[in-house]
Amino acid sequence: MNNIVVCIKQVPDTNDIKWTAENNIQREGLLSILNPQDDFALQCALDIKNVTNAKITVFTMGPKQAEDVLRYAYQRGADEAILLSDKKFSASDTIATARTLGTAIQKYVPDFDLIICGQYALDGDTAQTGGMIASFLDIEYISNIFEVSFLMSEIRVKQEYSEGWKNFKVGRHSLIAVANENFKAPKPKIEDYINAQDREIKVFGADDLGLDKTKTGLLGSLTNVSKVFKKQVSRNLKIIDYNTEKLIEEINKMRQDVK
Amino acid sequence: MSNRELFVCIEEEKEKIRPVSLELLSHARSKEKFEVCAVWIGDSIKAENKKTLLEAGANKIYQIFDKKLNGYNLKYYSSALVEFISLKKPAVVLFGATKQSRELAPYIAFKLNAGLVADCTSIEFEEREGEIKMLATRPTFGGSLMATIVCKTMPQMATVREHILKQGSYQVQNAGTVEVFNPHLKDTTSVIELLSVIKSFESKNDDMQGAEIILSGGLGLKTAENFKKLEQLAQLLGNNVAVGASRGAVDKKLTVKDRQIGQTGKTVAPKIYMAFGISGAIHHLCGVENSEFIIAVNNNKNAPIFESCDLGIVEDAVKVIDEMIEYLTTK
Repeated sequence: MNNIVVCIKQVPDTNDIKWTAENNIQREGLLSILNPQDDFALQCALDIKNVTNAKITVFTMGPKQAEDVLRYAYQRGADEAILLSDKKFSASDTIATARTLGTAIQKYVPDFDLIICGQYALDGDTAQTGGMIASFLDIEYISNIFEVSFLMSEIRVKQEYSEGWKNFKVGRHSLIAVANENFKAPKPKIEDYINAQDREIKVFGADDLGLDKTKTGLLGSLTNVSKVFKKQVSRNLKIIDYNTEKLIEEINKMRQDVK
Repeated sequence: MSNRELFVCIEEEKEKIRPVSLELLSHARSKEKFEVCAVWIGDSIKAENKKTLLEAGANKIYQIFDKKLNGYNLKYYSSALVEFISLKKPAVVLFGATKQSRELAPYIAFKLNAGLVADCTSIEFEEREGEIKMLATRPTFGGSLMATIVCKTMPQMATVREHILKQGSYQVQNAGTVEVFNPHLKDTTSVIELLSVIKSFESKNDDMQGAEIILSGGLGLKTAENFKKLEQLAQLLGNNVAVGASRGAVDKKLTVKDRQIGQTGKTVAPKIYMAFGISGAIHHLCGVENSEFIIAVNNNKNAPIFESCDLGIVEDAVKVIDEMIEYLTTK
C-alpha cells in the first residue's frame, strides 16, 4: 500500500442556516467547515498509513478559500494537498465535479492503491460524487463503509446494512465511500497546526487538467437546477394544554379521520 | 431520440419486492405518458411477483438474467444495466433511493453520460419542445432548501425516496410476459468479494412502514428504560402501532439504529406520528413530513417541532407517556 487518495470538500455548516427576507439561504457569514464525512475519510486513510507508511494525497475542488480544509488535512497528517480551482469549475454538478477530480487523480496519482471519499456532503447530500469518480476512472467502488482496515496485504471493509454489517474484501485500485455520523476528529495539537500553515498547497486549474469548458462547470454538467424554494409547512400548529383523556380522544379522532 | 419507455429498476429485500419499486411503478403509470417497464435483475421471477409488478402499474416486465447477477455486485449489475439501457434507450430510469441503488445509480449514470438526481421527494413530467422532461425535486442543505432539477440528456435518471409516492392498483390487461435480456458478462470480473454477513439484531423495519401510528422518542426520553415504556404504550394503543426514534436518541444508544427516522434514517408516512421529546430538527422532520397528523410532546415551548405539528403539547414527554399508560391500563 503506497498511495492513498482522499477527496474532501469544504461545505457551509448546515446546522446553522439563516434565511434572507426573500427566502434564500444567507451565504454571507456562513461558517465553512470540512465536510464531516470527509474528515472521517481522512481518518480511515490515516489509520492505514499508521500500519503501512502509505503516502496520503488529498484533493479538493473549490474556490481559493477551500485551502483552509487542505491546511486542516495537513494538520491531521496528510502528505500532500492539491487544490483544483478555476472559475470554469463553478456551477459544476456531481458529474462535472467527478470528472474534474477524476482527471486530477489520474494525472497526479495515477498509481493510487485506494481512493477514500466521504459518503455524502452536508450541502448537496447526493452521495453521488464518489461513485461517479470511480465510474470515470473505471474502477470498482463500494459505499456505506464504516470501517476500513489493511491486514496481510488485503483491504477489508465493513458495510452497514439493516440488520448488522457485512465484511468485504476490496481489491487494489478501488474507491471506498465511508460514512460514520458519530466520528469526532482527535483534538488538534498546536505544533501540527503551526506546521500546516507552511506546507505547500499546489493549485491546478482547467488548463492544467486539460479540461475544456464543455467538460466542467456549467457546460460540463448534465443536470440543472430549475428552481429552489423553502419547503412550506402546512400543519395545524394547534397547542393544547395537557390532559391525558383529551389527548387520547384526539388520537382516536385522527384514527377515524378518512382523508 | 429515446422512445417512450420509462424504466423502474426493481429491488428486493428479504425475498420481497421493496415497496418503493411499486410506488415508482404506480406513480409513473399514473402520469399516462410512458410505457412503464419493470426491470428485474437476476433469477427467474416468481409468478406472484410478476402479478405484483403488473398490478402496481407496470405495462411490461424486462428481466436481465445472468448467473453473475444472483446477488448484488456493483460491477456485474452496472455492466448489465449499462448494456441494457444503451440498447433500449428509455426516456427515464428510476430507482428507489435505497443504499444499494444510491450506490449503483451514479456509477451507471456516469457511464451513460446521463444526468442523475438523487434522493428525490417528487417527480413530475412536463412536455417541452416535443420531449417529456422530468422535473425532480429533492431536499438540500440538510432539508432546509428544496431544489427542482432537470436533466439535459437522455435517459433522465433519478433515485426516489421511499414512502413518499403512493402505490396504486391497476387492472392486469395481459398475461404478463417477461422479456429476457442476457448481458455479456463472460469476461467481466470483480475485485470486491463478500466475505461474511453479521446479523446483530432482528430488523423491526417491517412494522414501521405499515404502521398506522408511530410513537417516536428523542433525547427528551433520556433513558433506554423510557424507550421501553414507549413500547408498552404502543402495545396499549392497539394494532399497527410502531416505535421510532430520532438520530439523537439512537446516537445516545437509547434504542436501536433500525428505528432511526430522518434524513439519514427511514422515511415514514403513518396516519399519526407522535414525537416524544424530539426537538424537531429539519433532518428529522424530513423523514416524517408525509404523515397525516403530527403530534408533538416536548417540555421546551420553543422547540422547533411546534412549528411543524398539528397538535402540540408543552409537557415533559416521559410524564405524558406514564400518564397515557396509566389511563389505558385502568380504563
